[in-house]
Amino acid sequence: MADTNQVYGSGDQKIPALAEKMEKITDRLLRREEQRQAELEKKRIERENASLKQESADYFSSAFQEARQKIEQKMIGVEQVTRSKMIDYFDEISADIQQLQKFVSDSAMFLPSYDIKVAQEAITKLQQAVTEKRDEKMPKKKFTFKSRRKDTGQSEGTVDVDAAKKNVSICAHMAQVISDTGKMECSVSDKKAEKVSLDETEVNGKDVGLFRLVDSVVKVRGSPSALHINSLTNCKVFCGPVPGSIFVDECVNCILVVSCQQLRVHHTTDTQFYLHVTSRAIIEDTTRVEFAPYTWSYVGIDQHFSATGLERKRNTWDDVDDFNWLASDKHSPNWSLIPEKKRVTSWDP
Amino acid sequence: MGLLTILKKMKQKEKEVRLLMLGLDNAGKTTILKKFNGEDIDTISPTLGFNIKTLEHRGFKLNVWDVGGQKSLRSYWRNYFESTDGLIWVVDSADKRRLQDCKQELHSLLLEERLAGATLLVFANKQDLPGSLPSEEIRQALELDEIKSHHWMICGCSAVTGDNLLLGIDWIIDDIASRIFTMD
Repeated sequence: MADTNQVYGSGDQKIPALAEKMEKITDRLLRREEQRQAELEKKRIERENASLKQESADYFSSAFQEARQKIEQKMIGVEQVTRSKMIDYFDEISADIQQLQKFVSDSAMFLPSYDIKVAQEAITKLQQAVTEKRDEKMPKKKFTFKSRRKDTGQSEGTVDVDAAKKNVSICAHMAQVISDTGKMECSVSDKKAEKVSLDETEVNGKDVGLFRLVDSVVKVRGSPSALHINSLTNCKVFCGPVPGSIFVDECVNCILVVSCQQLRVHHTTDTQFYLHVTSRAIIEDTTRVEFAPYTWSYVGIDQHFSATGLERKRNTWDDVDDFNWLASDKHSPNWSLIPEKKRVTSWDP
Repeated sequence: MGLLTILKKMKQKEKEVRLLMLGLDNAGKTTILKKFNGEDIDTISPTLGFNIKTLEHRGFKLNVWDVGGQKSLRSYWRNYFESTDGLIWVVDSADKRRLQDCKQELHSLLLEERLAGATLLVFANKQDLPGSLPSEEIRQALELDEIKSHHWMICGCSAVTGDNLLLGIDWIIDDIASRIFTMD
């Protein structure tokens, strides 16, 4: 504004003086413009830096830690909360965790996968801790249910329904098991105290199933494409190289001498595995199972190994993932290795 | 997906798509992911936890989350729902015994609010196995025609041979892109 005034004010002066003055003013205006631009640029850079900072891993980890500590403190605070406010309090904590989860998901684009994994694990742990705390502070209605059942006829009805449901599920399960046998290309089922031998002409390249056997011994001298072992009790199973998966479900007190690419074990107890596996064995809902390296041999096994392409050198028999034991710092109590002295080295009588 | 998220996506120069891959255990989720990415599939073991891969495909940046499908892990699936653009549901077409299970898990996922805007691709995997059901039968078994809340498609495929993987992924990207990146 001051500049314009001066321009007007200089109207009655001589022309050369005016021109000189004009030049000066234009100069000054230009300089001002440059300064303004520089200022703008500076601000822009500052802003950019700030947003970069928001997207950096450092910012993420500090913000994450802060939020996590806040939640942990709230968890400690649970002790002082009255019973009536307990539900709201836990809801609040859950909401906090969800927010944290969202923060991690949103940041996933620019974080290294290790950081994401660590963050995700931390959140899972928090969630578990909250669930445990909630169960401890506000036990599910187990107790009230029991006391009510005695004095009202209505709840007896529920018990019946439960029992009926159970029956239905057992029936469904039986149907499943029966259909199982149907779909297999080769199967052995419902036998007691028998010795069964299958050779390569019967099993090679087929899905083989062993169902509901008791006190029996099965020897498969060949390589099925997959092997399903369901509901075996006190049995011994020997099998040549399987290029695909072996599924073990609901076995008790068995010895399984098998080799495969993948081993998946569910609902099994007190069972020993003499195992050759090229990826990793997993167990779920399984307890007291033991592992040792594969020790079985028969005439033609080398040929079967090379035909299936199953790598003989790689055997991760001692590296088992327990899906019910997600802690990595402590060994799962559900499985163990058979001490070398106790391992059976020769099977043929 | 909120309006804000859409705006955010529009602003991004790189077209990013977040895909969540779920399904029962042994369906072949990790194998699909690795095969699509051109990695070795011989040493895959059941996924304890999850895998994340960022892939460049047709000018899109795909963030693919592959989460383990074992029963004990399914309760953690919900941790991955947030900001999912597309859900890939993988089915073991040879596992007739658990199709019922598979249907239930899928339909309960579709009720999930945080997945409400996501496109659904069903991969009827393991078509290379002799005992597998064709995708038409899987479609009926999973009652896909009941789904009115999501855009969906079923695609028979084989992760081992790589058949039809591209077809499915291309479809899900196209569908997501037509929803999200229309303003470009």
